[in-house]
Amino acid sequence: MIEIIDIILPILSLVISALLTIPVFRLIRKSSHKLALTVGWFMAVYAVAGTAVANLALKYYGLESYSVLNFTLNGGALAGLSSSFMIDVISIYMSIIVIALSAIILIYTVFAINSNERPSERYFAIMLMLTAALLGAVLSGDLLTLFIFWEAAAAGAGFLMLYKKNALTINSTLKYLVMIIIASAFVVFGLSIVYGITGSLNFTDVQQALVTLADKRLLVIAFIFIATGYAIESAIVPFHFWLPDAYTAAPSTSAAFLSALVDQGSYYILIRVLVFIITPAGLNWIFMLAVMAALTMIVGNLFALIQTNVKRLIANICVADVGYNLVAITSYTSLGLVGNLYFFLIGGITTALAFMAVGVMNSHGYKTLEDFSGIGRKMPLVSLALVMAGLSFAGVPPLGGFMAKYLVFTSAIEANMSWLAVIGVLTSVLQTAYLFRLVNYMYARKPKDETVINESKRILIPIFILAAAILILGLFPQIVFNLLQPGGNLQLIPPI
Amino acid sequence: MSLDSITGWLVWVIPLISSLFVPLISKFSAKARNYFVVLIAAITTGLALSMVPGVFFGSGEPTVSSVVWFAGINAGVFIDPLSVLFTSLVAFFGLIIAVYSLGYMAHEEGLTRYYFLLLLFIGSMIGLVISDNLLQMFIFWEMVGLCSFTLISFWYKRPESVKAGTKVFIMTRIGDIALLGAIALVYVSLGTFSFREIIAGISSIPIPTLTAIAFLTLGGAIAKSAQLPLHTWLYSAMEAPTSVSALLHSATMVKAGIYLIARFILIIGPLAAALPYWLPTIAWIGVLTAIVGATLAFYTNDIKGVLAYSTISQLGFMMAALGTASSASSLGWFASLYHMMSHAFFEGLGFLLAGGIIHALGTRDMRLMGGLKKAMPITFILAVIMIITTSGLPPFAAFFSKGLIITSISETGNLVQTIILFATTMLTFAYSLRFMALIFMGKESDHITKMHPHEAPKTMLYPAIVLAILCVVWGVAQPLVASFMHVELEISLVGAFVNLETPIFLSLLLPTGLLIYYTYYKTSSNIRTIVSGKNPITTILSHGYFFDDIYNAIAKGITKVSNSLGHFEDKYNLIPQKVASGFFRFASAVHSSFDVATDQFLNVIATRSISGASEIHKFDVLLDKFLSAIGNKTVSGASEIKRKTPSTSLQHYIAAAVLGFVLIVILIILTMGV
Repeated sequence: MIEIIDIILPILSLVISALLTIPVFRLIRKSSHKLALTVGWFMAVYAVAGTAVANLALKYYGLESYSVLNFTLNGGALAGLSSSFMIDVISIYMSIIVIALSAIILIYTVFAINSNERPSERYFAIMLMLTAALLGAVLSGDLLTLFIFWEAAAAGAGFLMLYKKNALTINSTLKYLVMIIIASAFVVFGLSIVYGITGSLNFTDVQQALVTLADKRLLVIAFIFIATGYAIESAIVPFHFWLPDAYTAAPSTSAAFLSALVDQGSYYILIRVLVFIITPAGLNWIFMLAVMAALTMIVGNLFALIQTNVKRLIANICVADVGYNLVAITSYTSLGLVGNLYFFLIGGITTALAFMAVGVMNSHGYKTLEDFSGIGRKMPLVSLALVMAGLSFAGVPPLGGFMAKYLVFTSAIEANMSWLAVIGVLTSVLQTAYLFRLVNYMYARKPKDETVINESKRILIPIFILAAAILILGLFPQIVFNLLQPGGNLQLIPPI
Repeated sequence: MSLDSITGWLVWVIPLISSLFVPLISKFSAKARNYFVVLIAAITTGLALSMVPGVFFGSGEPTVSSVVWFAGINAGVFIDPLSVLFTSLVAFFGLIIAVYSLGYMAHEEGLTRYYFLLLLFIGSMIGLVISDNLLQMFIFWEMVGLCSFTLISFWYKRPESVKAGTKVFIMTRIGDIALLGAIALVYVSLGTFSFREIIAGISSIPIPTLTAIAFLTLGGAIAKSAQLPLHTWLYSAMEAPTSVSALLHSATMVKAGIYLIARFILIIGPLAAALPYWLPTIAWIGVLTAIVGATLAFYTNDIKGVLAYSTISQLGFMMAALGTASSASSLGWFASLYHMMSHAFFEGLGFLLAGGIIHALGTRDMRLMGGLKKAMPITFILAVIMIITTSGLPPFAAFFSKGLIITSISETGNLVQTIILFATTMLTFAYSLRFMALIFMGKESDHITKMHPHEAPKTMLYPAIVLAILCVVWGVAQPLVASFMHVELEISLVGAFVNLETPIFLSLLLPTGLLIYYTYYKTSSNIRTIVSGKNPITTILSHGYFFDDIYNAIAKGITKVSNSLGHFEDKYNLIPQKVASGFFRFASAVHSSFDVATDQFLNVIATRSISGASEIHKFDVLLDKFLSAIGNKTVSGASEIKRKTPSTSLQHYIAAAVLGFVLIVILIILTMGV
């Protein structure tokens, strides 16, 4: 039987470890085996948190039926106002990928930045805190808890971008924070109206109340505000401008963490709010989202085409990826949802991998496409990882990107929105074009200088774990489907 | 599961899995790795050939074995005459090339990668032809494309190799997208990928949809099999090692398009004739590709270029024959597949010999060659067999297969196509003889006396000899092949000699032969002296004979046409670039118009609502001050950096967000119909 402590344990363990990280680092710095101890400390942290998540997942998969379970902190008369948690297949799946990706990226960060530097312990602590906040967000059971945990993650993300303090990062972080604050104001305003209409914030209650709602005029207003707020946070065109700026200015470690975790978190919220709470039966948002999806795919890819800075190019692919995710949400089918959740994972891994590889190259001073000329010969292993990420973005089988796009487009066709699938396929062609331009620069051009670079072996470990994951998940998508549909063909979409 | 279906799984799983062991074994010894690859190729060949008797004595009906792969989609094998024919060819040729590579690639670096990709390719290609559903087939289709791309850029340190590889990959992707579209349409119509279920349900698809599917499939085949107008990639692919060119770009991978169309005709059955314009389009594309390929083969001076263009031309023949096949029992269907096999033998032989010659001379330019007859006698004899077979002279393989193709075209009564194909066979003979004359005849050139060429090593000669023997005997095997494919042939072996086409054919070859003989053989020193800058002998010779002048003029005419075709090719190659740069301009236009639009938007707000504007302005000023205050404290000149970087300003963010908000409102109102 699942107790509420099972749900809180992973969150709590990460928060406590984050607080402990600062004194622990003081001890580590005195020792002579700094790196080994740092890695050891974080492995211990993730061992504890991972065990807690595994415990929750195993208990859930051990249940006889995979239904939605609700938990509240305080029972009794005030239960309606208390923080509550909810688990279903999707939140279990999300918590597994959050903890796994966070562990790999943190290990990369330990190797990539010098942990002797003074503020680095704070950086690590923030990463752990953010992971805890994201776990809280994916496990939360009412709109307010979700809002609190998610805003903690989104606002906390700003501090990750600020690790290297210079005018550029401060500028882009500030812009990011302003946008996030505007977004949360919109969301809070929308939520207050929803509470006014339905008298509750609990997911299931709100969903039921909205379907039977007679007068939908207030709901339309609430929806517009909530949609705008979350659209800003997940960088849907034309709300996307902050993303390329922020990810380009941020250190690559932060960009990898943000793209793999915080971005995916924002898509999770879109799914949770749109598919499970404000269902199309409550308010028909499908056409609106379809237009936004098309716009996002087109603009994201067109902007990526003209970038000369490689990191900025990848950041623009993140925007385009939002569009593909939206296509899947728009289809509103079980297949689309599975495809979307698979796309999350693959998209997260791929962007993280790309940022990690580009980060290694940036650290040697190679930034623009011109700098990347002939880099395939100077840094063969890192280049290989970047090419794999690129091929996965472009959807070349057998890498994960192919299966992800395939599922997404098929679901759009199933939902009678072939036009969206056509735009998706055409923009994928565009994606192939500019990614091959990158490959062309990396391998076909002569390098500008003849410097010999010794690739650091340590940093390749997390990079190639992710590269292998793309290949394995692409070959055996069943791994993910089993997590999402443990009992075979599970109906993921709530019945209308 | 019957024995045959187990073999059907093993024959592609074994090479795929074994490819993973290549890097491991190479750690022990390079020799062990090479022999391991040969061993696996041999096992694969054995498995493939062991399926032949089952099909030969079977009923011709397919055997299917499939397992659930994921979410209701199966993976499986589909064993019928067509798939076993292709499987045997791929496995056998894989073995030939694995042995040949022992000699040809002996002194190269990166062989572990080479052998890994070789096995991966063999496994994927067999997987492609033996798949029982479209999705699995498409995945292998992409994987052979990937192998092709990586093998073309095998010498990745040479920029032109990588460039060629990228070009090939992008060009063939055009076809891949068309094929993917076809597969999606099939899935939408029938909800299945499996061949068997598609065959059962094909008649329920409306004809317009089926026509779209057929044309998209044809698009896939055109790109993969280098047909007009997507044929240019095959010449670029010649940057690959010659062994790879022989295996992928002549014998097997480029045949995937032929396989696809042949399979498609099998699947749709009698509906093929009902599709408007589909079969005639295939036939015309094939015929035009055949003649264009042949003229280009005449024009190039690159030894591998001749073989590449010849491959394009021969693939055109196969396509043309498929274009006459309104069902799988038509003559054209069989003729195409039969010619596919004989082409694999003679063109493969050609590549193996070219590999030996390039190996010995270190150049691909035929103008530097000549008189190789003395230094490489065995290669010369094999080349003669290759030339005779290519030109379609009796009694070797291509005489029968090409004869069948021409018969199938002339039976449709299309006179123009028949005449073009006859002209193409003439040109084929012509470029083959020119190939021969430039390389082997005449005196030894300066380059050759400098290089001291020697006969190719045994590991390279034996595979070539095996192919040469097949070239000789394959033609006689026609009745056996026909009963293997379960096709009833109306034309007997002897009939091929006495029907109407043969005399026309042979009488056409005679003048062509003379033409080439005079222009190239007699004056072959001419070609070289032009290269070296002196030509006193040529002038005397060319004015000495009355015929020479006429023939020269004709030859010049042909060369001129070929030349201008060649120039057209160069221009044609620019089109993708132009399209790309157009896209690029479009993208930057959109980008800047976003900036301009948001600027305008801000201006409008600023001027229209005075009070609101001052509010926004105050906010701006405040924010700017705040920014520069922090910026100045940390690093000097925050605003300067701000201007230099491409990042967008906060005003733009907010303006865009307001636009988005309005967009959401409009869209929601539209859907709600308020």
